[in-house]
Amino acid sequence: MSEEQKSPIARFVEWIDSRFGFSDTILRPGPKYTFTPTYWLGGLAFLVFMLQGVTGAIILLFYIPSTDAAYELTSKMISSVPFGALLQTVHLYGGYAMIILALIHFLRCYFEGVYKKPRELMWMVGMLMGLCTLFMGFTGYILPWSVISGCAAHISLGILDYLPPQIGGPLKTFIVGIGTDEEILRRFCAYHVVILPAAVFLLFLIKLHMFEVHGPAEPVTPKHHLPDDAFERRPWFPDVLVYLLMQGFVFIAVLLLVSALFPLVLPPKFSMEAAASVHPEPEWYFMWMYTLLRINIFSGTYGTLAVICTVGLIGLIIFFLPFVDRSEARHPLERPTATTLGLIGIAEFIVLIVWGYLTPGENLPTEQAVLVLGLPALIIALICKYYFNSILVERGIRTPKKFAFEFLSAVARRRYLSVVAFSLLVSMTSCTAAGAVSDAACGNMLSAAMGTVFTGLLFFLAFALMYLTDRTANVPMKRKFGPLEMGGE
Amino acid sequence: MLPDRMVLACEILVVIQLIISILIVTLDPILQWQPFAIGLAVVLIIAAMVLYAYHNASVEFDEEWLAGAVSLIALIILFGFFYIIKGG
Repeated sequence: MSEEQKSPIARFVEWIDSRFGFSDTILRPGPKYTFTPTYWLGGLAFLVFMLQGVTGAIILLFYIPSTDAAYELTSKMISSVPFGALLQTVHLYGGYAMIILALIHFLRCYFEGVYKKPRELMWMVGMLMGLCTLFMGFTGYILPWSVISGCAAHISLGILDYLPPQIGGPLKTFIVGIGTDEEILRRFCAYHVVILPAAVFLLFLIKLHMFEVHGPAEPVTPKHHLPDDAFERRPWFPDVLVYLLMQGFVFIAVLLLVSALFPLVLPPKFSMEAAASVHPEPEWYFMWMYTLLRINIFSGTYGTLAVICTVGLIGLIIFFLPFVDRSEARHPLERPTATTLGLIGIAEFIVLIVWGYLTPGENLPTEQAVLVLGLPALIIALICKYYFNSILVERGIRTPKKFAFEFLSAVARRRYLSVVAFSLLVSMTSCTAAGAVSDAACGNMLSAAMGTVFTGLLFFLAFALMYLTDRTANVPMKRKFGPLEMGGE
Repeated sequence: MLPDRMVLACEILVVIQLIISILIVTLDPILQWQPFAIGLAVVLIIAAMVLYAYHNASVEFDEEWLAGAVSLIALIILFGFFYIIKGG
């Protein structure tokens, strides 16, 4: 195409490229299949990180990390600095957005098995970035020194007291020094403004390098389901960059819109009198932990320690997941256990957050916790077990066996009846589980043991009913990658 | 190359973007920051729409018209918010 025939935009792009040399940079071209929003969640999170850097730098011009001045200066910035309220609100929601994006990115990588060979270290670096992001959110929450900030700082540091003194003491000194309010605020400001962002940036560079080496993970969808040109490579400049900019513009627009509609309202300044009149609550992304700690069985030193150890252990397992899950399968349907556990994890996370907001400051009975947390886990486990079983049978990987609970077929043949019976069985299972836990807590071990056996029996009845309902229906389910499609290849 | 009708659509969008940009810089940065934020959101969405058109210049815009229409509806809703908050 001659120079005259090119559009002004094409000529402008070429001019920029010739001056900056984007086409010759080390950033690799992107396959066309990556031009979907889910492939760039990490990039989008980093874009928000940059936005946080810009808004945070401006906010820092009007801020002093001192218990006397922090609240007044933040308040003054919101009320009398041009665009001060906008910057503060966008910075707040930007932090939330970064955590949400990191969370969705984590879930996508988990369910699509992106952490598998050769991206094991990318996963671990990403996990560290996620951890830094969470702590950036937390330290930022403390900085305005409102009543919520002060309480959050004291409660979170108080958790360290439950650790053995040989660990908790030095750790606390390392984090907050002598531990006065002034010192806490000054140190948290340093973590939020310098140390954690620097760590995230460094980890980002390491991850970007590994991304350039290994490239984006191939889609889990079978190749014949993708468009013909899905693997065609498009140059980083302008194609990938324009795609990222497009996504970034929309995302920042949404952020601005949310900020305008739900502006930041600063709680009162922190003081001991003010702290006595409020129920201090963590931000939503730590609410699950707070709710867990309020369950009666976890009250006291050992209970708190048990929660900390359990959460730490789960965190470690997730961190080393690439070395725990060594199978090569990546499609969620080919990894029933991982998919089921992931879905249960999501459900419990949401339930704990919602439950935490519905019961502010209350101690939560253990039996209630078994019901509230057990019911979603039970339902998801049953549905996944049924779904994956039927998929394996349908694909010919497993043959249907004679079932021990065939007598339930009479109910299973009637769909409506089986739905009602299934709901009843699931509810009864949760109730008996809660009863068993309650008996165990009261020391009534015989009753607890009987309750456990009865719970197991009800669980199997519920599963058997679901299994038989599928077998007696005689209607093949329509699935994306069913046996007919696979056999037709 | 982008079809002429798309070029025309993009040009109209850019003009709207310019008008909104001029409108929002006249707002009070302390008292009217919310309309400013919504106006800026509209400007960014228009920029994303124009980028979308040029990013998919080689694609026949059949299904994309639907996406364009949805974006326009979103734009109109944003305009609504913009004027409601400004009026309030």
